[in-house]
Amino acid sequence: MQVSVYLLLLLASGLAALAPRLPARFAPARAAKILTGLAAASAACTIWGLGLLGLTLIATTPMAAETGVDADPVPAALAVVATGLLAAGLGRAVLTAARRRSIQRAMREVCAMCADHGELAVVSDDTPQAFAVPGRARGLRGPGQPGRILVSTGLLRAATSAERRVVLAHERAHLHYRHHRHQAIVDLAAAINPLLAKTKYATVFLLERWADEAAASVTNDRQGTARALATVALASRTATSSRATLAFHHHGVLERVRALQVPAPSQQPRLAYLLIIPTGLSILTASDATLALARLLHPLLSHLAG
Amino acid sequence: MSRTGKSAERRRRGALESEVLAALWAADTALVPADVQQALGDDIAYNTVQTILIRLHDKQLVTRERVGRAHAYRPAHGQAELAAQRMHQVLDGDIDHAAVLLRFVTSLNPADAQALRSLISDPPDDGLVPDPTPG
Repeated sequence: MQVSVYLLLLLASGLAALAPRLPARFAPARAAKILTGLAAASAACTIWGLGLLGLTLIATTPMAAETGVDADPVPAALAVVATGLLAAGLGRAVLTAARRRSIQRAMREVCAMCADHGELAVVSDDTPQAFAVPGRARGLRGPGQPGRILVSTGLLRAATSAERRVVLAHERAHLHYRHHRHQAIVDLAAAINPLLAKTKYATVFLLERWADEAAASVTNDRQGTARALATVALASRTATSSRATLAFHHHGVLERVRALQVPAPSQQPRLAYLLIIPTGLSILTASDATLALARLLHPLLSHLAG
Repeated sequence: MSRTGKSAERRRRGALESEVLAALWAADTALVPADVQQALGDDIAYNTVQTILIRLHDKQLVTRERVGRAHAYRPAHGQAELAAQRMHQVLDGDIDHAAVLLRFVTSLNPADAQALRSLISDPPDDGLVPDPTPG
């Protein structure tokens, strides 16, 4: 119990620390998928590890002692802290999911106000803006909706026809490859384990790079794609008061333009090393820790069963 | 291949419709099909442009007025101004919307803007990778 449950939490932290260091030479599509997978694995390890630690509290109950459960080597205080951390993480995840849903619903409403159908929704606004607004899957609450591209008149006027084509191709790639799903996974994972904040932003950056590369390949013009990005970024700068955003984001556009000015990264990261081994290791460790807890509580469990 | 030619064709047509609509929104005045064709700056056939404009009109995404023998087209505004207010409410109300919305660009600081300007005015030529041979 003791070793493997701590190892599990160590794995969760290790994945969170290592994931954003994935080298930039890898193709952004594959790299984004790997980071998303690692974030999910890390969040799962976090939940499982904290949960197991919390469950050791059962061993301290009088009933457990009566049935002959050994005193657990995990200190009760630690188990209480783990339970608190788990509850806080799950609470944040619920809030994050609610916040995501409400923002996306509002953005869908904005699109519907502009034009109630079609791919493109144009909002009258001088600030250059462009968003990919995910659609809604068909569900109980009505028929599905396709994703939309929301752009401002400010962007359309600041850009040339070729640049507009890049923007549309970029946003279309977000929708086509369902980037909002990756984003939802890393956002929720970071809510569960705040150590994943860097991984979250690294993934968001890679999703933008992925869409940039897709736009460059649709328009068959890397330099043109770089220019479109730069034009829109510079136009938004003069149009908006700069708001405090994370430092990471300030460098986003610059790095994306730089990446487009060199040949597309073609090296595919090896899934085996980067995703399958860490995930497999996590599953093994989680199983071992779970078995250990089951063994510890076995007298109690068999008492309850019989 | 799971995608049929038909759905690829439909996607291409949808993309062209968006491009034409974007060109109309970017213009200050109503555009006749020839203007739109020119604004797209690409080798798209006149007939294709006209077909798309008619389809956009059928969908009530554009309005048109007769100019001489042709129609001049403008985008239909809908509630585009009100929508802008709503959009700003969303963007201003959430600090960390970068993790929720997929947004084309985010803000730049002055140093980055400067760097960006020099990057696009002076893109590195084909010797992109620094020469590994020592000088």
